[in-house]
Amino acid sequence: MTLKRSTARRGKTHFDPIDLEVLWNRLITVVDEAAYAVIRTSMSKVVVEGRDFGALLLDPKGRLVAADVSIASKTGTISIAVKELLKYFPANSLKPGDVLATNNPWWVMGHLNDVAVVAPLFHKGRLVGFAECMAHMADIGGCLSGPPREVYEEGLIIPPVKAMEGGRENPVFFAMLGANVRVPHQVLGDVRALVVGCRVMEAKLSEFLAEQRMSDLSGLADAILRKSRHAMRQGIRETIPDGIYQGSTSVDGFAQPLHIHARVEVRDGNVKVDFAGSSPQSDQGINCTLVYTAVWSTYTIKCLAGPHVPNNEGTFSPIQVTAPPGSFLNPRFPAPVRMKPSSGHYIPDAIIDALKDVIKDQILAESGNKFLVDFAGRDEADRPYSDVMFIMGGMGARGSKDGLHCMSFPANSSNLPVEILEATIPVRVLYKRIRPDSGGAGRYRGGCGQEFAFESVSATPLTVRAVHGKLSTPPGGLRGALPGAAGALLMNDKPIPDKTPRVMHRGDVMRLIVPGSGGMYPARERETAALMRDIENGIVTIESAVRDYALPRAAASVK
Amino acid sequence: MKIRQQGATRRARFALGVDIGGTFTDFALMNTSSGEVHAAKVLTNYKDLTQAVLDGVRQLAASIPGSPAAIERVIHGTTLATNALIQRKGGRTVLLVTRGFRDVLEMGRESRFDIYDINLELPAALVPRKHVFEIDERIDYTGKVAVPLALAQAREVIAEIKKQGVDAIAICLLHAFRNPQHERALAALIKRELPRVPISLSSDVMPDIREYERASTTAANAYVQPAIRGYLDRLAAGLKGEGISAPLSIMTSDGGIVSCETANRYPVRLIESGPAGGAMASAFYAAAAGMDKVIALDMGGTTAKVCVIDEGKPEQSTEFEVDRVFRFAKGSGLPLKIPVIEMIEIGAGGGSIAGVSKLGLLKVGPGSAGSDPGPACYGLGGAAPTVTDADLFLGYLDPQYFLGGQMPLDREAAARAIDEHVAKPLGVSVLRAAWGVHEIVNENMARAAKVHCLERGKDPREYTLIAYGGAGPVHAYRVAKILGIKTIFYPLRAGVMSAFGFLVTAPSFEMIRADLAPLESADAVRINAFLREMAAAGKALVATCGVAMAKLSTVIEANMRFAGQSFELSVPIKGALGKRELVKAKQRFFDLYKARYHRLNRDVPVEIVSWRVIVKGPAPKVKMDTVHQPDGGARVKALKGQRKVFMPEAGAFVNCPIYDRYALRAGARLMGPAVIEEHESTVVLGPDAAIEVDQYCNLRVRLAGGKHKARRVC
Repeated sequence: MTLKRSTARRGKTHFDPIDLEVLWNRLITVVDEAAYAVIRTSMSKVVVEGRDFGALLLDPKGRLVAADVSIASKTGTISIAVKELLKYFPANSLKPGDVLATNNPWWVMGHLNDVAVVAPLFHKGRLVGFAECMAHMADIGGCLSGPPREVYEEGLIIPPVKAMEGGRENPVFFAMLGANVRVPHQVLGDVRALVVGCRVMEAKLSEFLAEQRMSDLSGLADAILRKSRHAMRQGIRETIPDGIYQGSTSVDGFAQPLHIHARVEVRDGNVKVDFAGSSPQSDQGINCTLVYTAVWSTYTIKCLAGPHVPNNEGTFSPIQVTAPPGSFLNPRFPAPVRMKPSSGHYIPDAIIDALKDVIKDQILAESGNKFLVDFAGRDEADRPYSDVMFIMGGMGARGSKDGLHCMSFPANSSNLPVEILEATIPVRVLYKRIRPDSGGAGRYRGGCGQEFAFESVSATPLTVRAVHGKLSTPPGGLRGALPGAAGALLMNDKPIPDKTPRVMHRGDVMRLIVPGSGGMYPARERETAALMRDIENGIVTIESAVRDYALPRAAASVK
Repeated sequence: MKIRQQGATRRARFALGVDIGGTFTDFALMNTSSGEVHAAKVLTNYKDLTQAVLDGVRQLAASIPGSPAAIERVIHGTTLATNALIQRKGGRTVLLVTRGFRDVLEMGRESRFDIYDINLELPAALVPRKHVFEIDERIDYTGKVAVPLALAQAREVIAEIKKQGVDAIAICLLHAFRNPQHERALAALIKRELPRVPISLSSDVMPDIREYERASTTAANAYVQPAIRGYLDRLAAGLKGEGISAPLSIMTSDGGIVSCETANRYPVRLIESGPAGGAMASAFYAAAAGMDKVIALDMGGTTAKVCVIDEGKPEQSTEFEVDRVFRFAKGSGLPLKIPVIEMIEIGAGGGSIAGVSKLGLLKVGPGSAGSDPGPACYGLGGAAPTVTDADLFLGYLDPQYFLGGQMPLDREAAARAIDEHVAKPLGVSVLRAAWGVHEIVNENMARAAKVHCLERGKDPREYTLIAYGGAGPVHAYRVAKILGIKTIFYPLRAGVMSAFGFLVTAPSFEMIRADLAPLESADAVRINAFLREMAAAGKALVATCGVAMAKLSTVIEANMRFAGQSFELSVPIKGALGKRELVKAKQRFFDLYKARYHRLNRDVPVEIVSWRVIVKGPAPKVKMDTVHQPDGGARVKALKGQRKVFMPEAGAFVNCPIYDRYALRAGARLMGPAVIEEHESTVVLGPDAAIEVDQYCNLRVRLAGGKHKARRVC
């Protein structure tokens, strides 16, 4: 019994399912190595701890072949930066050691803080692909004193530019960048870290190709994209029946609510999501460029139909996302975009609303999202301080199980310990507790939101901005279940609008009431044991059990 | 496992290491004067864990007459605490918290460990919401009392708890690590009402900052306390009954040994004692053989563990997770803030199941057939193909010599399972499929080890691999090839490394105390005062192991970071703490930071987050045993014969020499390909391996290098 040994893989397009598994994972490790190189060389908290960056490997045509898996925050991105940059700098004009940069929100991740650095990758003198490393910069300049009405006010726009040429830094670029940001040391350090990431990817990819005796990635990339596309389409076929579906939701906006309308067309494993009918673009920074709209749209389809297919162009290719130019989900330049999450995070709700009747169990009701709270001020010794924290709402009930309490969906993050918060910012937390009855009643109950209150203990003014995006409408339930509880933001017991900075003085109390989430299926179908457990644990009150779950009052009081 | 039986002479003295693992309870009985080690394995009895221990002791006593009375030390490691947590079989536990923070356990970190899995679950809190009680009190972040403890309200809560009945109580108040007075006052109140109920204070169990992790650790400590107490009492009595009068010591997760008394007080520290034993044994071999940089690979039946050991010291951490719901995914378990030897665990073991993924590719693990029903070749009803089945098919394992011949394996059954579940669905030959399973499990381990090294700024190519566990030696050669590692060390007794590791470990105890402050303004007088207190408490604890106070040494470390970061590096403090030492400590922090992240930002201020005090007793003097050397006429032939073994370099089965590990002579040199068999494992080596047998029957293997070129088999 023997195995045939293959000779050199030059031009090989067929890989057996074992070789492909091995090579694919090694290729992802190549990208991971680049990601760790970025972490090791960055000095900013956003990158090192928030892991708010990504490393991507693309083929010479600009197709995404592999994304790092160890860092979750930016994967799933549909950056089109490489394709756009190549229009300015054609591939055949690029030389080893060249590195391009841009932060165009219409190409990268939807706001100026995300800077992408792109390097051509050469192996034995041949262009074999591109590395794209991008990260959220600690600052990108711009106006902080009022709400920007144009992207120009939001910071420095980096046009397609060579950050490095033939391995040498472009001094003009670095000087311009350094002069326009508040923390040049960190920002220039992070851009250099991204360059290092690209360099490491080139070295590791070259090693990989030499080891595998491959002259380029073309055959392997085709195989990876083909398999991924096939798996994704298969997943879509198994999850979503063919058809055209309409769904909608709304977000708070500023003067009036913004409407999201999704038309989802599914044909044989391909999905087209179109947002015609959504509200026009806003003059406030809550617009989502199409790249960002596509991120949350594809994320949603992936969650529903193919959660564990690796991220690459093949995985995303069955999903097409469009939105009418001039709508807030595809705004025209120079619309302001800085606060995109406060609207973009609700895109999944509209898509799920469209599909709610045709998907079986792989679905969830509307979630309560989260508050992003930023603090800034100067202490008594006039030293500046600032920090950011997240306060989560409930995650919607799933197709076959309860929702999760205090768990943000779709964007993921983690909380800031109260003990750390109090040691860093002059506040005292009065309570941080689950909101009973905020999870929508259903056979599967929605996850509860929370209530968080803090008091300023500072002798100097403390500026606080709490951003949520959707407090006034309760997160909806699905399939006959009740919605979760809506949210609110209060200062000294008076409602205040979110997304707007407020100055707090000693003794002022801010209360963040984060929405719960919707339930799934009618509440009367809930198992009694599950309901009793919720009552015992104080997640559901007896009043709600009687009112929403139709529990006989006698049964409730026996307990 | 030895060839010459000596029997206990009058002067012989022994030390006994016992490790209760998932399948087997392992024993290592060492004659401390000669270094000779007797190993034994007994099936773990889940109904009564002490039973297997006593059975094994009897077996050893029968083969080494007089040994029980001559045993001077018994060191034990057990999975009992882990099992109690995972199976939720601990005591009925109540948690007391500061008013307003009842949901500290329920909320956790509010983070999803898998962003795409909308059906994800997190482990249920150890203490359900209904058993969490709020107390009116508040301490601020500087340790000042902001709201005094409401005694009357506390008494009401205690009365209610008494009425409901409780086995253990955990108390975790905000900022108690800065000021424990309210926790202590509450404990005193409870003691009056419930004198028999054990109480765990967060300010005692783990006085570190971050309320969720501290509460989770304190609750876990309380939760397992009743079970551990009963168990250790029974075991100690049982050992006395067997004629062992030596005190019982317990292995902890950080590679230390504590007395039963300490283990009873801090049972949460026992969680990872078995794997810690393996790492300590590796560290022992690393030091003995002069290996500065070692990666330990422990591959067993269900998982593989990887640990980095620099300069004879396994990497330490205080972050650990137990009961991961989604196996091996970071963030899917209950966090425990305890000192541990840092290891990554991968779902890659002999029992790992192979199959076809949704992408239509070959996948191995993380699911495992375990030992029941086990791999298809065990013939115990398992139908799924596993790594062991592939290893058997490829000729790496001898069907007649598995576990020293105790368990015949069925090669046909292995082939059938691989054919049906892997080869046919993928459209490849059985051989291609079997080699694929072997190669992919190796890739999985190598990738995890590589990422583990990358995260620490280390380059695996500079390391020696130490391989043990039942499956480690079968796979280490190929894992080393993938990682570009040039040297592999195969210690003898790969099957009882943990129990052996217990015997080379020193008594020790580590304490942590959070005290967040900028380095520049650290108050050395105040810090010295609590460091002295911590050292005194630690010494008292380690002394309960029977170590004289004069022989105890103390190490102090500061956990430091750049301001605003949320992870720390441990920096040794070498002299009396003062301005000068703080400046030196800052420099050491810079050096460590640079080694890990290859960059520094001197403009950012440095903070001290917490302090560690480690009190250590002397390490036991261990003589390595050379008795395996066959003397004179009794020489056994090392070459057992040849069999067909698959070598990818040839793309075919080749005739490969098979050696008896116990018959190898010191100084012998062999070349690969070779298979070297011992009772609990098999060393498999490819053609570029140069093997050297040392005087202790350990194998040191050098790989000629060249990457894994011949992997291209289709």
